[in-house]
Amino acid sequence: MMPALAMLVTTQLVHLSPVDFVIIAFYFALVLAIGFYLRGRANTGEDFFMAGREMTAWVAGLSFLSANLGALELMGWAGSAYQYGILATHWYWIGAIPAMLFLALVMMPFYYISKTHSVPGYLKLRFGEPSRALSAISFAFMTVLMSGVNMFAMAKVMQIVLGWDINFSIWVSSLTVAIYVTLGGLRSAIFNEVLQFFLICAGALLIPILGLYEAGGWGNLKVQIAQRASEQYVHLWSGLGSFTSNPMGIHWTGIVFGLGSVISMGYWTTDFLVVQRILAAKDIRSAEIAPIIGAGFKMLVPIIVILPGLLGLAVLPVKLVPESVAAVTGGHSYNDVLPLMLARYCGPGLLGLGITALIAGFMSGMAGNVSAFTTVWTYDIYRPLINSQGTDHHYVNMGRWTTVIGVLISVGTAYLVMQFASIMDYVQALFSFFIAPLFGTVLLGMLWKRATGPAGFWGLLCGTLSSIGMWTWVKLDPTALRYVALSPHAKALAQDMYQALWSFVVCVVVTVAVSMVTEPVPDSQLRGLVYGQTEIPSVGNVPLHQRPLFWAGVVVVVFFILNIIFW
Amino acid sequence: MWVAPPSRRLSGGRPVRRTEGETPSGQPAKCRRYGRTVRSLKAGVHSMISIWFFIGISLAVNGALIMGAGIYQVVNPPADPGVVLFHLHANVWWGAVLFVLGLIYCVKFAPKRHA
Repeated sequence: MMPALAMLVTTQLVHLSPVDFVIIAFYFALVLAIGFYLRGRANTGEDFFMAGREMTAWVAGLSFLSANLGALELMGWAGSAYQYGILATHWYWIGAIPAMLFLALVMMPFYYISKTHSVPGYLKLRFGEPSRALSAISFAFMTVLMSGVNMFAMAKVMQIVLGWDINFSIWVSSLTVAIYVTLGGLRSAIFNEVLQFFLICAGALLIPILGLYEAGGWGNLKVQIAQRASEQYVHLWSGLGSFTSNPMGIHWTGIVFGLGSVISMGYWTTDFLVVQRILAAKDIRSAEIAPIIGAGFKMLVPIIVILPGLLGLAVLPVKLVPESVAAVTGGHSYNDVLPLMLARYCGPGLLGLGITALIAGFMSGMAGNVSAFTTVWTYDIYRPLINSQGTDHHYVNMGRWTTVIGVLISVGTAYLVMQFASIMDYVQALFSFFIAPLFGTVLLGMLWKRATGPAGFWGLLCGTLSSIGMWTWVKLDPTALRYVALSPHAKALAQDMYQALWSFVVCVVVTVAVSMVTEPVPDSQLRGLVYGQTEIPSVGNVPLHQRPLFWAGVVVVVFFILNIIFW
Repeated sequence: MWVAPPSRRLSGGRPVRRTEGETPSGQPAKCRRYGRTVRSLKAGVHSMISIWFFIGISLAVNGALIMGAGIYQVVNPPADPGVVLFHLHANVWWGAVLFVLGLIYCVKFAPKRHA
């Protein structure tokens, strides 16, 4: 295997030694071994699609976090930290923590008590079949396309960083994922996500440790960043008073109301890719604590993602540039900052572990997409719309085949993106269209009993169409940015924030308006689905340190302290 | 697949009449083990290897490899180390940390045989 791998290496950012290849090969062997070990434990629908609903709070919580901790996420946000400074941390703190706690304390009881298999499944129970069909079809379609886009991005990164052939990366990673998810279902995906979390910590934690040592501590690092970039690069909030006083071109209202209140809420509470991990928890207390555990660790992720980007600003001898400039000049782009820092500090063995962490991040992200797609296809599209008479065994077989087909569609998408690079931007944009309106629909469904079935459907549809409309408007006429994002200086990220905010507002307004002119749903049909009509089970007479509310309070306090420290 | 009820399997196939809460031996010390065995048989499965054990294996093997590579470099220092802060020998101590952590996980979550 070593000579074969060595032959694939042409020009690359880092050079691997034999021990690095052994570490990478060991990772592939271990994930396949886990898949084969779990193959006998995925015989029923509950086992295959919901991991038997027997995950502990720790496993569900770390898996919930890892599903979002892909390598593109790591490299992309490290690059954003180099480009925008510590402002990128907002996506880990205000852009995640409130939403995760909201999921744990407010939404999870409804998901869990309704015993739904998926988020579209909840929409079926609350709003009826049309809402589920709209949500399920859009989610399944987008998820599998996103998986392909990520697969291509991974192969591209492996080509740039290691010099590996794109076809080799695509097929090895996709076949490995197909094997272990087909064999072990969601349980296998969750096991590998938890493994990935530890690999990422083990592989990436050394960079900030050695980086801070080299920079001379946090105080000296801030001075160096101020000299090489700007003082605003190390402040979270003090530069957000206007669009022009911070590197991101964003106002605090966009961060608080767009990111913190809509986008993150939409992603962390209604994106089935992450919610599915919590639904696999063994009981309601575990399901409530799991997102809180995820939130606690999420607050620490900037140490391995944002800090390397900031350190890159201070210690790297070369200046990184945007991707488009790097393509012309042949220099390094912002997104290369993490591999560059890896190569700067990590010798033989450590480099292999760092690269393994990136590969594990890519593969578990793909496995997460594929397992979520499989569940939604089988339970929310195939069973209600195509064959409702099948046995449990039949649906498990359908799930296994869907896994293989989902991976093949992802591979096809990856090759399509290779031919037409612009597809990547469109698919990523399309995916974001559904998140904010879906949050509006689910939130009203859970908290407002007057919301009716037709209102849920029309609210979701109009919210999604408004998001597509705003995106198209800005694409055709860039000056429209001043209306959508409230400023002509807004950057792409700021546009996303406001686009999500307006589509959420449209969804809520339409849902409320249609509800008021349609027949209310009888209370008897809302039991277990809506606040006020559902008896939330007590956590029981457990000590304070075992109560979800207590740990949520601890996370909130730490969250505020961190924001004040880096104000 | 039909699984014999716990009482028949634990008594070699012969039904045993016991009062509620009584263990096969009647000794309180074995209560917990008996209860665990019964739960395992009722579930129809043997206990599953913990995810933490797999993580322990991963950390221990990776730690050993990294530490080994680091020690080799200490014994045979390369002319061009290729990394900054080489003198800290990060792969030796970081590999050792991972190895010890992995061993702790492996021992603590090692698969156990049930009677």
